[in-house]
Amino acid sequence: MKGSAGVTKAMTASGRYYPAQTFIHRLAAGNKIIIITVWAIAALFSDSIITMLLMMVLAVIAMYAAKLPAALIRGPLRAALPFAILSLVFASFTIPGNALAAIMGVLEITREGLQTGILYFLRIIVLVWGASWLTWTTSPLSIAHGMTRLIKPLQLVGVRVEEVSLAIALVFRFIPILFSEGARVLRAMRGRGLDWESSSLKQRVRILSKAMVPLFASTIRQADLMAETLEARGWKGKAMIIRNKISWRHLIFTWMFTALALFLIALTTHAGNAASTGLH
Amino acid sequence: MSPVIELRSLAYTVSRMGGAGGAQETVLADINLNINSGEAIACLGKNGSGKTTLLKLMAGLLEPAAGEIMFGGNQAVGDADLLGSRISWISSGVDKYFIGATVQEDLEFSLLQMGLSASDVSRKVNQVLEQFELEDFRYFQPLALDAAAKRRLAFAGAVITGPELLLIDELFSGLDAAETDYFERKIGDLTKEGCAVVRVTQRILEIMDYPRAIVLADKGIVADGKPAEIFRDPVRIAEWGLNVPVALTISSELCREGLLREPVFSVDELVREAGGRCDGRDRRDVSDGRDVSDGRDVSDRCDERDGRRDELDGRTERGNAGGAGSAGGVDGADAQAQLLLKPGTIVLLTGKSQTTLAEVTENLGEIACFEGFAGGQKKPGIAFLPRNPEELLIESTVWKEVILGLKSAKDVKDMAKKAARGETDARVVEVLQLCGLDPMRYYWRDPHTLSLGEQRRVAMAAILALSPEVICLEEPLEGLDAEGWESLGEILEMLRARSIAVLLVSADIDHIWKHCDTAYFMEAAGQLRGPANHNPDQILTLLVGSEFGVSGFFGASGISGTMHDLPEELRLWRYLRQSGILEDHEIGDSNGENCPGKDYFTQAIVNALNSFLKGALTMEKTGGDLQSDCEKAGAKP
Repeated sequence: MKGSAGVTKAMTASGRYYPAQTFIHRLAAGNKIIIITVWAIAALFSDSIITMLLMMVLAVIAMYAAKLPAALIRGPLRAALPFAILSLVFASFTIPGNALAAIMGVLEITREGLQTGILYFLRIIVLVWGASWLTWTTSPLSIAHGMTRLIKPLQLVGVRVEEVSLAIALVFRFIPILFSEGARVLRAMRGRGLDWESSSLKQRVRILSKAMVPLFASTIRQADLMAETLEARGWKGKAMIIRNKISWRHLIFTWMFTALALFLIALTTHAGNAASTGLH
Repeated sequence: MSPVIELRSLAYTVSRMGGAGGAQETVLADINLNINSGEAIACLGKNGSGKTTLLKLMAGLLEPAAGEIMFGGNQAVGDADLLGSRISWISSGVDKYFIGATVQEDLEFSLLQMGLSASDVSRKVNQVLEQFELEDFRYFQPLALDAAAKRRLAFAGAVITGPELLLIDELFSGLDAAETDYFERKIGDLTKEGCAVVRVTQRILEIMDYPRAIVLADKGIVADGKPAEIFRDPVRIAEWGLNVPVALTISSELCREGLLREPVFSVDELVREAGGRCDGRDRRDVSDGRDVSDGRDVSDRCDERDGRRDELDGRTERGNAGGAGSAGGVDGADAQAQLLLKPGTIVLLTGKSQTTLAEVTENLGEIACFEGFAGGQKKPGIAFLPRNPEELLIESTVWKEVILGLKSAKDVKDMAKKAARGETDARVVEVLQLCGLDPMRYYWRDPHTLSLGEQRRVAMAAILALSPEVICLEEPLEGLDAEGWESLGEILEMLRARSIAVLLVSADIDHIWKHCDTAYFMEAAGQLRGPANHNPDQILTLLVGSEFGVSGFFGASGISGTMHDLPEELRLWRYLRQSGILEDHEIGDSNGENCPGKDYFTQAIVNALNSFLKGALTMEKTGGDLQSDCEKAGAKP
């Protein structure tokens, strides 16, 4: 169906699992979570455009290795674009420095502002790509399993890890359900003459406000159904996945690649900082 | 043999929301039932009779209000952790049944919960993947599978744990005969291994081979026994709210006349019975069109029948040519007909594949042409009712549900709003009444707690409120009981009376074919055959015309691999026409207008069989030459 194709696209863009058989898919979720955490820290702490570009190249390599289709990779770019542009515009107008151009004599675009704006723009893409890489290559149950393993030490201080793990698994399991329920409500409204596609911005706001209550109600119903399913399938709090077998070669390769990437990031960040201090 | 599960004076109640002080409503009362291991039981009952509730009670998903359920003689179902290992339950909404992100992960889930080792789990999963032909889909997302594969996966996920009791809730609705057969074989295998199976369904004919059936009505089990025994009386079946098989209606009428010894259930049996009378000495099995025990050349007979068929087709085409505005004959070489929709007509669009049918509804504006609507050639207002009415229901009360479209249809200014208020209210009451819902009884109810038939009515009211000119119904028969079918007929006639054009898009055409004015058949995307006017001859030619070889005609029950059965009445009609028992009937006029009532065909068939069998019996008595008489009857057309 035409209508649901758009919805599916929206779901994949928002980070739904894309099953394939690559060593990245087989890599234990715990490894991938650590990699992505370090990745996010690196992206947040480095403030050089060169580093961001380098990270984008690395991200593309990682996604290529996971055999993700190009259309999928473009998804978050489109989704992040409005935010990225907003921060670009905001930063280039608000940060003082060497004026490049002035609009109506009031707003000034500065060189530093433009640089920062581009940095923010790229940083958002790097972060979104990183998070999507994790959710695209790891099934929700695996992510939950990986998180459980990572927080296992907290058992010593009295955290009930199994319950936290189930909560995480349920959250991940619920995301696609929420999307399909949202799509259903919008479809139902289209059936009554409230067409999202051909509406003005003002009407869209109205449609959304009308959709919120039904969506909330249906979410509760879905939660009920999910509880029933879990009970019916015999959930007893045990691990929900079999750990994938991955060769040592692949594991070592992955971590070497990660270490190399971190080294390069540190290097370029340092070089970038040195360059910018040199300019002053 | 010891029972697997034992229900002792079981009762279940729900507290009714909105009722005075949370009044208790009894759903099931005093249920006693024993199910032995290796037993297959069919559970029947109309919508809302408590089938699903009973199944959930047995699964331990619901707590009974009174009585107890014992599993394996000594364990109470509610206490022990049986579900998902020793008891399996498959919900009717199969999409909600999956947990894993891939087929493999989903199958692993229950096994891992049982505490099996990784190697055991992998071995079992591989075995089941092979057994259910799911290997190619191992890394697919469950929701991305087609309808049949989804059900195979749900079934596989339920039996992978090796349960002793399998509870199946309407898993097979919407599947064609071949796919249903596949699951029946799997169920047969399971029972041989000692697993007890309870299957909930609406259709009697599907479960005639089961050794035992129970019927739920009036909050209890009203019948328990062999299907052939408990479903003898059409009056009782109708009282239970189930659909009476056509052959049973006809044959019990013939029994009353003393023409048949015993009522039969399927059309095949009825045909065999009638054929037996016809042939006398020269016995042949009419049901598969093959000679059983004689020396006559088979092809001879085939030619004979072929000739008759040609005649039939020729006549249909002639009749069609005289029809109004039809875009080519039914068997026309260029099968590029276009859907023609006129106000106040009911048009049936059927086809092999449900997915291509769904595409039709997506771009109806392009493939159909509209005639006689207020807007002239302009596209009229089309409303769409999906196969599952719940898709359309989003509000918390029926009233809000119906008024939603009205409030948003036009941007009413604040001033005009107050004046329009009374008008909209009146409109809501009007459409609710039109759809057979008493506004006072229904306005406050939550649409999601209603039965499927009621939901369909609410959804219909909600789209009628927008006063559409064309309404498109997708698979309107799915999951409906006898009452639902009746009410669908009422709704269709109501729409016709209000000169709204109705397009029925459905692979299952049982019962609704009688309401339609014209019918089209969709072979592949964009390939349309038709139209056929409201006339069994024309509809039959449309449906099976080029698909069926002469020899295959009696044997095959389905129209093609992916479509539902040919409706029983049509099959019988076709047999009677071909063997010349039923003469050419002028039904309505050539334009397909002036349609006879829905029982007309059943009545015509009964009359024809009646007079024929009477004739045959008199012949038997006088000892006349049966053979020549039969040949004469055959050569008539």
